[in-house]
Amino acid sequence: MSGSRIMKAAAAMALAAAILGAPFWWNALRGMKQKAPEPEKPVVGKECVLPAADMRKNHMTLLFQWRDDVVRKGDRAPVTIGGRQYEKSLTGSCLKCHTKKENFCDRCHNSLASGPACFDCHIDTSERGPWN
Amino acid sequence: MIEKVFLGPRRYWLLLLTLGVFIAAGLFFYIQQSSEGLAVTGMSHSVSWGLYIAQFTFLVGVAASAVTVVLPYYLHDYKAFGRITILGEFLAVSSVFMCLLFIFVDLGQPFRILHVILYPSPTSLMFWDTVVLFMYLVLNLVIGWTVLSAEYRGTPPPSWSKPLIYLSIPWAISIHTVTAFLYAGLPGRHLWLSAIIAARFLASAFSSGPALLLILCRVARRYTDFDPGNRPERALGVIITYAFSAHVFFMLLEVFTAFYSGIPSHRAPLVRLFWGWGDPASLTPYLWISTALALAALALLYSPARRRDSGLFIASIAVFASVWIEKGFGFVVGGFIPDPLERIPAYRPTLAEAAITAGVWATGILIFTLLFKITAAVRRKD
Amino acid sequence: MELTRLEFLNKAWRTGLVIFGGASFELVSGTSLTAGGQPAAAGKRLAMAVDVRACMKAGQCVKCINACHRGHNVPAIPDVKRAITWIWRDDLERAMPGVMDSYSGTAFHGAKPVLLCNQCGNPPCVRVCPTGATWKRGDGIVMMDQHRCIGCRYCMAACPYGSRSFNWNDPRRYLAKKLINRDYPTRTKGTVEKCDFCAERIDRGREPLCAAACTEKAISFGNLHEDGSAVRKALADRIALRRKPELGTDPAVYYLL
Repeated sequence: MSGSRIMKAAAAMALAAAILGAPFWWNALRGMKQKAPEPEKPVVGKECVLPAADMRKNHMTLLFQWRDDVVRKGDRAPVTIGGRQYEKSLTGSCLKCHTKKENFCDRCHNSLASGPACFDCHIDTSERGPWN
Repeated sequence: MIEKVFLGPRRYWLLLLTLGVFIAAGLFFYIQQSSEGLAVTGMSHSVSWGLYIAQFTFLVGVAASAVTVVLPYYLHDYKAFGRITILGEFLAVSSVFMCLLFIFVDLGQPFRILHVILYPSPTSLMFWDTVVLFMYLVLNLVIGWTVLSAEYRGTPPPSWSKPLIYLSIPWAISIHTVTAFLYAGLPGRHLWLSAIIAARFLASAFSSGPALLLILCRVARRYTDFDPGNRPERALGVIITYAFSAHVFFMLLEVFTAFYSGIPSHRAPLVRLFWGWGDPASLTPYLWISTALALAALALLYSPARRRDSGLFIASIAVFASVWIEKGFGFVVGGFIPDPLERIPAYRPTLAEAAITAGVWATGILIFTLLFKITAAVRRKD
Repeated sequence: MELTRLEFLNKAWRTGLVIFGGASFELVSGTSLTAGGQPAAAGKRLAMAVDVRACMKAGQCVKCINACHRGHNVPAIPDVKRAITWIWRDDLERAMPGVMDSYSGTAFHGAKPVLLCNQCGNPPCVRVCPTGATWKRGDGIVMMDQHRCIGCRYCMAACPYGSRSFNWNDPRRYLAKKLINRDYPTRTKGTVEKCDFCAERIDRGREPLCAAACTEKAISFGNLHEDGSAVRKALADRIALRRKPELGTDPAVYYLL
């Protein structure tokens, strides 16, 4: 490969990196920083079904498990954790304490731009009413 | 090798541009379909599959038809097909790609498509169809590319490609058989509930596929310097004649059983297909056009006209169009009419549906064009 | 995330086995792959008997339909071509072609009994579903998992009764927020849905909404395999027909004449 061809290839790669990475460069130049989301803590209920750290990491696995138990196995028996009984239900359990979906679920999920489709079907029973 | 797609005459770029416009239009309407839902199509509670799945069915046939050139060339050492076998394989690649696209655009929840692999369901023929089609795509892409690369380097194809080529022959039959089984095993859909659907599918595939290949050869001879000569065309003409005769014969068998038995549920879908759906949106004229084209094609194929280049070309267009209407529309939509409650629903594709369908076709033609461009350049040795 | 990765590997392994081995653990062990680990409730088969005479006597009554559709947030879509129906009234002669003619059963001419999913013993929809989004529970209910459905509509082509509906667009557009049942989800566009004998009530020991709502006592419900059940009592001294039994689907909904 001749020198000029290598130069050309390098220039093309640099241009590609500049264009494809534009969002990153743009935000870096403006000094933008990712702010940690602050989901609102519930007023009612002190403890969640699992320790907070565990929930942060694994809430989706737990929800999938409940979903499969209820829908696929027809097993709707409540789970008992720490002496308290919980219905295996997103709206029937989670939203009973976290009464404002937009101040809890949405804060993290919007911040990370990861939108699970739960509420496309399940009804947001918080104060703002069905589907907002 | 792949760099050959970047050099071409003005005509070539004009073709790519035209295809790009169709693809963009298709994409535009697909975005609309994604946000609005499949309500933008003409499908309904009763006719729940329409143009997309019908075109998918037709194209599985075109893909399978590669076997009509692969088999004579590799198993019987029929040399005349040497120059077009690779086109058959690349036609298969483009067709299977279109098939997968048609399945994708038909899904209500396209982003869940991997559920088919994540939760494999061996009782479902759709699961098997996905598996065999994907494998067939890989097989033909690997075979075509390997054989062409060898030609490019001036070496014989590697020995490991032979078993793959032999495997691709029964595999071609299997993809269309599985596609026929999608329909032929459903209780209560009497147009489809027939033991000869797979045989009909293969016969219509082995006539419409080679017809398309012949049309493509003719286009290539006219507009490019790729010239396989007319010996392979003659041979394709023979294959088209026999396969198309079998296709028409099988259709008549269906008509006999449905009408002579006198069983209303077997007769109803055929009656509706040819004599109206009791609705102004009736599309029966197209079925009659298909029939007329079939008769014209048979007349041409069984007359001395077939030996003339123009006669064979016109016959190929008639065969392709006839099967395209019958299988790429009538068969699938007709199976839903009358519906389970004996009603005669209307179905007419919408503009969005037609544009998305055209977009998928443009994508397939684009893939074929690029693969053909590489092939032609390799053959020219530039 | 450890768990989900493990699950994925487990599934990938099963997929490989199915593709290359043509068999799977579930197949070998004799339970359906699509059953999702459903424990078989031995000998249980939930069934329904619809009294056509009682239904006819009620005239234009739609109490059961309203109860079901409100309870399950089934939207009322004005375009009948795109309607969603879990339970609906339709002509007896359409539901059971050939069951009567100009001379026989004239008392039933014009009858429009309620139709719903037949919860088949041998359901074609379950057979064809490519993802296990629909399957048969141990108690006979043909269940739908809305999370799993990819919207291919193969089940609609397979169902010989027209009992399955597809969400051609967002169903929430057609639901009045004030009338919504907040204890039951809606569906989303691009998935198939149908009646499931109110699985959510059955699992809590209650009868289906339609049976509970019928003031004419036209709908009897219970375990077909249990001697004294309501459905067996209803079937005992009446002639009952099922829709298209010749197709081998073994429907669990009977129509008492």
